[in-house]
Amino acid sequence: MGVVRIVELPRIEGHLDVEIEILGEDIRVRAMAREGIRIYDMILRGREYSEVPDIVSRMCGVCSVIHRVTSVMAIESALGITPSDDILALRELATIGGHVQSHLIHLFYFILPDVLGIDSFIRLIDKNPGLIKKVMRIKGLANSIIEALSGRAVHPITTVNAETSFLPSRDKVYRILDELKATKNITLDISKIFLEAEFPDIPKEENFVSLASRDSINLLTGKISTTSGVMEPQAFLERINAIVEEYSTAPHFLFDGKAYMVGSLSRLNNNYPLLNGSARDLAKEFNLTFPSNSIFMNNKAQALEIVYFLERAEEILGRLLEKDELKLQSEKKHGNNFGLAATEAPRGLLIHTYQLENGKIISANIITPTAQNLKNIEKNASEYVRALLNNNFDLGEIRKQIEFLVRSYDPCISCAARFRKSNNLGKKLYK
Amino acid sequence: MHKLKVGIYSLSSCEGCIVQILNLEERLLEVLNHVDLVECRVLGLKHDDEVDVAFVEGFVSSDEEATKIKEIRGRSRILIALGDCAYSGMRFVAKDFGTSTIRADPINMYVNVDYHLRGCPIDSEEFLSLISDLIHGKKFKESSKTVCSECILLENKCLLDKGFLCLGPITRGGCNAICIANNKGCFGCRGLGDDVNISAFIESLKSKGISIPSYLLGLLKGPGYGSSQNS
Repeated sequence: MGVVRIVELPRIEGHLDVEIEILGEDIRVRAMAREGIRIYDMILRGREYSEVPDIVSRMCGVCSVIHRVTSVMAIESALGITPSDDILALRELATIGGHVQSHLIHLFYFILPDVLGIDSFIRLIDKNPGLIKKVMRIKGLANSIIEALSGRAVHPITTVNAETSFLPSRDKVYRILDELKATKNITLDISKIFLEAEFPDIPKEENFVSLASRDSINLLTGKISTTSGVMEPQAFLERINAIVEEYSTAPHFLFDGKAYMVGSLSRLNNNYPLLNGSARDLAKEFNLTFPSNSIFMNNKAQALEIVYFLERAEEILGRLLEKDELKLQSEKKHGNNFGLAATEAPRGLLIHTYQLENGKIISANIITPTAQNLKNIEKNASEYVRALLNNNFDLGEIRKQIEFLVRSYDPCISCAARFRKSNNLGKKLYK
Repeated sequence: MHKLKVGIYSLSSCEGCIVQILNLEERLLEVLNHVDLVECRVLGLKHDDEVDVAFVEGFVSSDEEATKIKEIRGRSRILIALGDCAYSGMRFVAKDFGTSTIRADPINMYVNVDYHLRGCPIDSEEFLSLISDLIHGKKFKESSKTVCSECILLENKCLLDKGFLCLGPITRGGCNAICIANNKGCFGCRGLGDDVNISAFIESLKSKGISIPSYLLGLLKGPGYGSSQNS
């Protein structure tokens, strides 16, 4: 039947073309990152370690908080610094702000039009202004959490660490707490839109990777949970490899030679018993069960996470306010100049590693969630095309469904893109 | 009254400037009462026709993107470069003056740019004042002050006096010294101010015992890309 090319897939972060090739029984989908050259790993070489957080936050306008926090944690590990629990709690708060705003952008600005069959969220300005205002209020709340901790919602100015005396004023914290309490029902209302929506339950996802959690859903620390067991991040790194595809400006990762999925769905699949509070109640109310192996459930997982994260923020803030003074001193031992941090970005597992020498970066490696998802996107989109063809869908409908499927991974191409195929840089960076 | 037709476009970038616009929340709704947003890939809006105002974020990193920016210029009456990527090819963020072999071209290497909104990301208030000027048919004028002179008026504590590096004295204002207000030295993301004296700045850093970052010496030779005058 030939080739369908979706050029610059609308309603995702960054530039991605998707090519669907159907040659008889042979079906191939290619996820072609088109974003230009953004070689942060190279830009960082030779820089003072203190310059890194400001530069890497610029990898992504939607997930700048987690890039900043992850780089700081990786560099701390290179220097032998262990942040105190209070510092980690403050960073988790900023991260939660970042995740909630990112999930809201994905669900409402990107996915909702697919659910409602409209082209753009902004059509709701006339059709359902009440909903737009609710979404904007919660997004504003999420951003105010980032601003209180880091100074600015996009490209945060500071990261809570021992060297920064920056702490939010009690006034600001109380205002955020009041707003968290006042907006609880609004958060539930808007999340339900996705929890009650009917999504296709194919194709079958298999390989879920995320941080492993113990007490709450971990975002900043912990081992890595995979279908082959729980392992240290370093061991995980040794089992993944990057493929450079001629057609893509992003590396495509495999774990033990197989495609895998990171993101909200992986987090809940691997840590479902820890989902508590209203999010747990909602999952029961809507008969949602995890683990689930439909990628469309990633949208519902994000909706549950919005509820979970905001309750978690309230809990952390309450806990911190009870203390007379926060412990911001970190422990420092001798570092070995190699630093690694594995965290959960809104879109899934994120790993930063840095090798330092005399306080300067001599090599950096940033493994983003979307780069890890690309092979899985291709595999599952191919299977989905086959299923749709078997059900006699026409190419126009197939195209729409594939757009919806790719979008459900919440890809972020600005993060994933690194090199341009023409200059062999990809091959140099990823042997 | 004719509503301005507006398009928002992105080249290679982090899309943070668009996120910054979306983060205006209800104030964005107010803006959308007065303009007609017709094209924006992130919001699923497609138009492919003439617009009154084109906002472009990102730099040019390929011939394809060079063609794209020319195509957008060809069908827009007013073109505005958003953020440091579009303004300088991200040089003021990456502090990479003249040594890079990576192609990251500012858009005014290819097309005329009517206005620049500088910074990384753009400043929301500055965006709103530009939009308001356009709606009222006025010319937008960017701040001629440095970050330092804005900062003094806000009575922030001077970080240079405390011995920290701050690029406020040589950086163009318009951001209300947001970094210094958050207890961090100016990062210089808005590029150089008018007629700033880099040599004198380096001397003053020396006298305060602050170590001189090597990129400042690179900047002495000029930032290494074309002029960025507003027309």
